[in-house]
This record gives sequence, structure tokens and C-alpha cells, in this order.
Amino acid sequence: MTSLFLASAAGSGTLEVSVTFALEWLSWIILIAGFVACLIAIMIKLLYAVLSLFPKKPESKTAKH
Amino acid sequence: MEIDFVDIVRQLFQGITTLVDSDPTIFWGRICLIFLGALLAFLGKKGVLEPLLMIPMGLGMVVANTGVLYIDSANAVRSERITDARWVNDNDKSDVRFFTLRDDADFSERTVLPEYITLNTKAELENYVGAGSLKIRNSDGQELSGKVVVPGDLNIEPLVEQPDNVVNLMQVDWIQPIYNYAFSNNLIACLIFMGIGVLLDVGFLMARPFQSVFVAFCAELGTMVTFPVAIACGLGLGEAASVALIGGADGPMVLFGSLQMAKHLFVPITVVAYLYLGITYGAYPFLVRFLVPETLRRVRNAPPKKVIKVTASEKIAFAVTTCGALCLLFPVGSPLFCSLFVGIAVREAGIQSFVRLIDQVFLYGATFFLGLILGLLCSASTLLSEKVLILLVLGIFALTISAVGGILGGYIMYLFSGRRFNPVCGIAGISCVPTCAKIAQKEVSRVAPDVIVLPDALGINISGVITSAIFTGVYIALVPQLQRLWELVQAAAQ
Repeated sequence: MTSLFLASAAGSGTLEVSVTFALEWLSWIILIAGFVACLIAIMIKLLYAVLSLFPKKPESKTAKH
Repeated sequence: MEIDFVDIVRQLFQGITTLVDSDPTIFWGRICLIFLGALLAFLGKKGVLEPLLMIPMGLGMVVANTGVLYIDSANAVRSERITDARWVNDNDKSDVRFFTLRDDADFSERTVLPEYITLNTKAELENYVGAGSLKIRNSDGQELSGKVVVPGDLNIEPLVEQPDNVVNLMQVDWIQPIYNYAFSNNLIACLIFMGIGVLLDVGFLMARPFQSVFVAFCAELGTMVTFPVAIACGLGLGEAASVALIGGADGPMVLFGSLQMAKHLFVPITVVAYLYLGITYGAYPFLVRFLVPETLRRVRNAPPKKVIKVTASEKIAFAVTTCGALCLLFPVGSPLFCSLFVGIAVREAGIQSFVRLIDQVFLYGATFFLGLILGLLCSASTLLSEKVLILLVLGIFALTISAVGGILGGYIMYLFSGRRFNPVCGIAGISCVPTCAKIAQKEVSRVAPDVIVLPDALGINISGVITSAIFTGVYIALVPQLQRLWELVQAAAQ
């Protein structure tokens, strides 16, 4: 990707290069954040699956301390 | 002995003296900020803006711009904020001469003063300011000795260059220790996040994880779009990422992110974020009414296929695993993740003494000092930067786009759920808990009092906090890497 930018940067205006650079990386930022968000949703479902293996006992909402 | 009354008055009322002596820009900036501070406190009292934050912040803003005095430059902390200095004749206090640290200063404009101190380099100037005294030669060739003073206040200095001077500041500047040891290192942001954790019931998120995460992700549209827009406006990478975080509508997150990525701009960015957060919550109901027609606001959400009762143990298990996973992926954001999830875990464990400590002491204490310190940092010299106008525009842009993104996410869910999801819930993706969820329910109740969307909205709202934290982590982790690449690209462009 770096070489791609370096190639495109030559002969372009600085602002144009900056915005192209930001847009190109923005897709990666969205992809990474989206992946992690999905991971959390999947993790919740997995958590239920794992916890369902153990028998559920009724529990009090708040403990006294 | 002749008494110079003008000098006595100048020395006595230094707030006015520094105001009169200052640049026209700083002069009007200070006046405007004094009135703005008073207005914020008033609107906080009226309940238009968040009183917990706005009352201390407004008062702090007034103090920061009224309580300016001349400080001996040898005792003042050297910082980027100090851009002006004055030389005062030891024998004749009314003989005041001006010089500046600004590289681009135009000395010819200073026609009020009879003589200027001519210095060749900025380094030379800084040496004099550091020494605190200076001998000059007047036009008659007579040598005059005087001391160098800089305008400043006794509250706070955000950009300390010399850590040794912190000891001096602790004895003089009253809130500096709290700033240094709780604010500039992000502790306040973490304490507020801990408090938010204690307020969150993650059961709403756990009952509908995919729906909540999806809509909350859409509500980060402003965080995504503002980044390239800010770059196009001429901001640097760190600055652009920090201002983009305003789109997440999470104050502590913006504070944390800007302190990490754009420390020199964290004051205006955070102030803009908190000001807009107060204003936009008032504006969101109108945006919802504008974007969602009344017939769709009446839509009843589909009940869950299976009623899931999430137990406290499951919530703790969620807090531990999610916190661990996020810290593993983004160690740079681990203070924030740890604070949020420890709050959740403490709440679910039912440790009432800790819950009271975090909720009553940490959260309220941190919010109070956050407001007060932000207000005290709002001096004209800090806020009057050419970038602030850009930040003001980008801040409102980010929050509006995020709200539109949230509603858009609501519409997508509406279509995918077979038209059994109320699109208004999308506004709850903006991560202010529980205000945005309440806005969603209120707007639905206005047209259909018997329709309840609050549980779904709360799930989305809590998910919004987590997705904002994810975006903060991604930006903080990625920006330093991009910075290196950016320099290469810019070098190639030239």
C-alpha cells in the first residue's frame, strides 16, 4: 500500500494526496472496528452457549456487603 | 516623592491592566469568553444544558479570562501558551515595553509603545524570558534594568514544558496538582467511565447483541466520515482523528483520544465536544421528527422469540471476556476499557459499598473537576486559534452525521426485521447513556403512548458506548502508524 501511495503521491497536490490517503485508510479503520464489533456480538452468543453447559442456579440480584 | 497613581491602579487591578494591554484579538476573545462562561452557567441552571458540567465549566471560563495578571517570567512555567512578554523598568514602573515570542509578530503595529526591545532570534527572546530580567539601552545610550513579566493566571498551565516547575505550581496554582495528576494523564476520563460502567445494565445489550451492535455501529457514521473531511480541512492526522471522535458523542472518550493524539488541541476539541453534546441532545428530537415520519414512529418492535433473562453472573462473564478481548486487541485503550468494565462488574457483583463509592464520589467528583478544569482552560490565548473555527464546524458535522447514521441503521433494521423495528431506536446509537435512549422512547411516546421501545433503545445505547470505545482504540492504535506513512507520502508529494 505504501508504494501505491508513493506512486500516486508523485505529481499530485498535497491536499489531494492527504484526502486520498485518509479515505484509503478509512476503509481499513471501518473494517477493523466492524470486525471487533461483530466479534463482541458473537462473543455474547458464545458466552451463552458456554454458560448453558453449566446448570443455572437462581441467584440474588445484589449481594450484601 | 512623586506618586504615580496610574501605576498604582495598573498594579492594583491587574485583570483590567492585562486586558487593556492585550492584542485586540485577545481583548475581544477574553470579553466574549467571559460572557460565554456566564451564559453556560445560566443555561446550566435553567436546565437547557447539563448543569453538572456546565455550571463549574462556565464559572471556570469566567475565572480563566478575568483572573489574568502579570507574573515574573522567571517564575512562570515555560509553555507554548506564553506568547507575549513585557519589560517593566525597575525605576519607572510606567516605562513598559513590549516584545513577543510569536515568530510572525509585526512589531510595527505596536505604535502605542515608545520603544521596542529588538531581539534577533526567538532563542534569545526565550532566554530573557527565562532569566526574568533584562538590561536594555535607550536611545540616549543609557542602560536601564527591568524585569520581564508574562500575562498568565494562577489557575492552571496545560502545556508544561519543564516538569521541575510543577513543584512551584503546586504551591501557587491552586488546581494545577489536580490537573497534572488527574486530568492530563486521563485519570478523570477513566473515573467518569468507571461511573458510566456502574450505571450500565448490559443485560439489554446481551438480550439483543447483533441488533444493538449493528445499529450502534451505524451511529458511528460521524466518527468515520469526519476523519477524511477534517484532513481535507487541513488538520493533521492526530487532530483529525481526535475531532472525528466527537461523532461518538462520548465526552471522556474525546478527552482520552485528544490527549493521546493531539495534546496541543485537546482543550478546544474537548470544549467543543462538551458544548455540542449539551446542545445536540436538545436538537436530536427535532432531527428524529424530521427524518422519521409519524407513521413509522408508531411501529411496535417485534418481541424477542425467546425471553432471555440475563443473570448477574452472565453479565460479569460478559464484562470479563469483552474487557479481556478489547485490551488484547487495543492495549493502548486498556485504561478506558478497564474502567468501563470494572464499573459493570462491580455493579453486577452487587458490591454496594463500591457502587456507592464510584457512583456518588468518583463520578460526581470527576464530573465536577472536569467541568471546572475545562472552564479554567478556556482562556482566550488557548481558544483563539485559527483551528477552533474548523473544530466548531467539524464537531457539529460529526454529531449530526452520527445521528443520521443511527437513524439510517434503524431504517435498515426496520427493513430486515420485516418492518417490525422502530427506526427511532437508531438515535439511541449515539452513546450518551441513557439520554439518547430516553429521547427515542419520548419521541415514540409522543405519537404512540402505548409503544415501548426503551429496552431495545437501551441495548443499542450501551452498545454505542462500547463501539465508541472500539473506534477510540482503533484510532489511537492506528494514528501513530499512519503518521510515519503520512510523512513518507508527503515527502513524495513534494
